[in-house]
Amino acid sequence: MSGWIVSANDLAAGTVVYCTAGGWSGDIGDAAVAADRDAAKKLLAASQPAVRDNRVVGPYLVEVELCRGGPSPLRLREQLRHRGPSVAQAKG
Amino acid sequence: MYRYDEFDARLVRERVAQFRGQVARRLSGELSEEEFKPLRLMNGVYLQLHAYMLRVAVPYGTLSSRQLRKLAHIAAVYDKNYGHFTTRQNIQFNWPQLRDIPDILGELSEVEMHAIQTSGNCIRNVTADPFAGAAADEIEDPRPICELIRQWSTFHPEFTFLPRKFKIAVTGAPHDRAAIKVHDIGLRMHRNAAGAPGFEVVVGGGQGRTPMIGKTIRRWLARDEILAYLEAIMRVYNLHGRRDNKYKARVKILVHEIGAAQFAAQVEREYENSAGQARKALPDAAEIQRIARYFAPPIGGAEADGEGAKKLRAARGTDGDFDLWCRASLAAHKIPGHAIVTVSLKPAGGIPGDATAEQMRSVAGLAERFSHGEVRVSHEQNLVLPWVRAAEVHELWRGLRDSGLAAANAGLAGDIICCPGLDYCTLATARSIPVARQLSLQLGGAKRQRDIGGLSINISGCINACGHHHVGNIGILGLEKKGREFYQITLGGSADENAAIGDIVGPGFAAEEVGDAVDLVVGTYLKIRRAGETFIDTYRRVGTQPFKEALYAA
Ligand code: SF4
Repeated sequence: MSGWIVSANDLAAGTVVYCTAGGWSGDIGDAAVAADRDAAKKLLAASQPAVRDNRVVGPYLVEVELCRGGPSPLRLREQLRHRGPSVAQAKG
Repeated sequence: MYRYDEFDARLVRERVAQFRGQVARRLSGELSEEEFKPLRLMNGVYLQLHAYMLRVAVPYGTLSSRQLRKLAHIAAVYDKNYGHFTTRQNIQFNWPQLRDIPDILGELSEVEMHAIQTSGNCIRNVTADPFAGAAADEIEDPRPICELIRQWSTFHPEFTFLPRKFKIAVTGAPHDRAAIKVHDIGLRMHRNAAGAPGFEVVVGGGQGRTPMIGKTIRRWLARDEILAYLEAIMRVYNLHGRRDNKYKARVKILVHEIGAAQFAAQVEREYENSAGQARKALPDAAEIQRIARYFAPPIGGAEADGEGAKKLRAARGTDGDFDLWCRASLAAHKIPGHAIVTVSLKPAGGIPGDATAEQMRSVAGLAERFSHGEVRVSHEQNLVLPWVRAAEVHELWRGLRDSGLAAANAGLAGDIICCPGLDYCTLATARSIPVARQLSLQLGGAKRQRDIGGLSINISGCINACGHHHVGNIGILGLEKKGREFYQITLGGSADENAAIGDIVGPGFAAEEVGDAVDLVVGTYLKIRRAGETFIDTYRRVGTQPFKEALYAA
């Protein structure tokens, strides 16, 4: 089954965040899921106050598949945003 | 090295204070993202996939040990302990927090560094031959001219809102190590019939979605005319450059559309007329001399007895690994008894151009001991120590080896140039780092790479071509097709004085096929090359056909 979630970047830190029922979380598992396009539009509209409140930058819809572990993005770009760079950074 | 004067220092300090205020106003909501974005971009701050990214300028690729230590400190304190050296001779930090960036810029200003001109539609940070001042084949150190261009272009009121970004590269040597023909303006120093050094002016080169080799619009231009002439070029571009279409806004499109001859004529007219005013305001020869003194070689003179060279030869004779590394990493120096040393940032399986804070510190320390505290960044995403005594190369190599920095692949197939791609970049269509990583592992060790010979492999994660794939002998462009990554391969590109845009060899390859495809290309070359030929020589002799047959035979 697929659906939509809303993702953005945290304004102050820049980190990837997801819109939840009550706010924003860095954990995709907490994301509020919209089951259809109408619900997705509403979810995106509901995320706008966080832009005005200077909490996040640029929220947008991300299409996901609903697995047992939670929502999993369909597109590679979003998978990478969720998991981080695919190649470990230089060790230090 | 060039030192800031009071004016430079104040300018940078004021800019940091200004940006501190802008960030505070953004965080408090006084500025919207729409209002803030152009301001942050003017300070090198991008918002990428996972975080903000800060791009720090390394003017003409020259760094002091002190500056490199500061970069290491920033990596360790404000980032994830590493930085990424780019094809523009800059460094990028991938994980800074917006609230920390004013402090980072404050720290950078302590060592005369900043992020100005690393973004936006301005004249970007000028790039140069990483061997400048030291190369045996050089006519003159191009950096005094680069510094002049830096001073002239920084916050130039007329050129702060150009139709698009604008990149200038300068070389003082006949062998082009600065890829000047794929820049908006490339300046190549050579001598005229009377033996006086001056610049060939090349305009309208570039990569991206419409790759072009620049056209010469002036065969020879005296050094002290350079700023007035550049100003004339910028005026013609500023007036006629397409502001209506982002994809047609670079000067290369203008030069292409009206033709190089017409563009040159307009520049010459502008130069004769309005630039006369500017010419009067130019620094005189004494000022050029004053700047040039900062770039005087820090080493006294040649080693008369050749003892150092003898010592180096002896060490190479007894230590095979060291010899292999020397063959890749040493370049001829203009002062006998010295060597230019390239420090490869391309360990097998690593991320091209990445260096940890420890590695940066270690190079800074080695530069202090062996290279008069000076380091360069190359557009190949490596570091260079330009002032090393031949007698000390072996000891330097041991130090590099201890820090994991002794990959013997500079200029060879493993020296892969690669942009951050979809692992970091918000514009990317595919990943580039995993491809680079896999290729560097499969290409084999130093001996095999030595056998393959000089070969550049360049990878970009989208058509913007930050990995310079168009000018790689083997270019790899990551694209997306039906939600999957696939890679287009080009052959025959070259970034030097014989610059060429690579030819697309045929349909693209799925991610898992790219390794085999590159193997087939390299294997085909090894089969058909003639004695003494490098990959590009063979390609120029035979064209794409044998490679096509190998790749698409089945
Ligand atoms: S080439 Fe594309 S993917 Fe690579 S860094 Fe440039 S914009 Fe990003």
